[in-house]
Amino acid sequence: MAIPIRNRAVRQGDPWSPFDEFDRAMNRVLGDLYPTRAEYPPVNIWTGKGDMVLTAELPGLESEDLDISVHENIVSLRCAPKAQPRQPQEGVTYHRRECAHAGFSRSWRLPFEVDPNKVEAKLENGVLKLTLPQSEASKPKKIEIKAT
Amino acid sequence: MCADANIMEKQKAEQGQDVEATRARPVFLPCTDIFEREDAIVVVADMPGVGPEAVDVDLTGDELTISCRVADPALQGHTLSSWEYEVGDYRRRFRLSGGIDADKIEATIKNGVLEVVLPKAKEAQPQKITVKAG
Repeated sequence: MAIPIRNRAVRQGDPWSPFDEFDRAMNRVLGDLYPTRAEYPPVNIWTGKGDMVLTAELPGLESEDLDISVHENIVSLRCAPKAQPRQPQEGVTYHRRECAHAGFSRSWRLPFEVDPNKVEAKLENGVLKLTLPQSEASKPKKIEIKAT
Repeated sequence: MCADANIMEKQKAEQGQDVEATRARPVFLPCTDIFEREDAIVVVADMPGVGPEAVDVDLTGDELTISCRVADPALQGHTLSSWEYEVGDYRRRFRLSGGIDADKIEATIKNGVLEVVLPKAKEAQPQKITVKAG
């Protein structure tokens, strides 16, 4: 499911909360403005002139672990669970385990069509930077008015 | 990477009442795995955005301090239109149970994951005693 870009207003869902019904009603009215729960990985979205940049913190992942795809205005980011590093080792005793090792899949609907040939993805120090330029074909064209 | 519901979001480190950072930016507690091998205690901390030049690992007495600075995340010519995570420095302290060979501590950082290997001192390592038949 593609999740449109929106501001974060995360709250854990409670089926008995009267506000959830309100949330659902609001979601129907406002489309997907409010997410109902936190998604992993959290992503920041930057808007520039003619492009958008998506950044995500993905510590420990190598570039080959990630599967990024772009189709029209839908951007998907996936990581298979088996690609996760740091599997439990034998003969060790864990004192503390806070880092999880699950896979994930997220997608976003951008407000414009992306030029798939110009998409740039960079993974540096565990931070993914995905540059998504708008395709030329989808940019608005200025129409000259001819004098008669 | 924190996907546990309780620690999904970055946790802010508590600022001490008397000591404050000079830079006004958030400080987070990195998600950390700690495991014990026969020869060493290994601390693995998720610190995305941290390069090798910005890591500071310090052992004073039995207190291990990890502190890292993260570069300003602002992108030139872009404005942040939607945010789900905050960027800040990382700091966390652990009290070790002792018996660490402080001279042989090794720290490496790769893909935003810091690994600190704290070798146990010789006297703290298990000594196998062979029982002789009498």
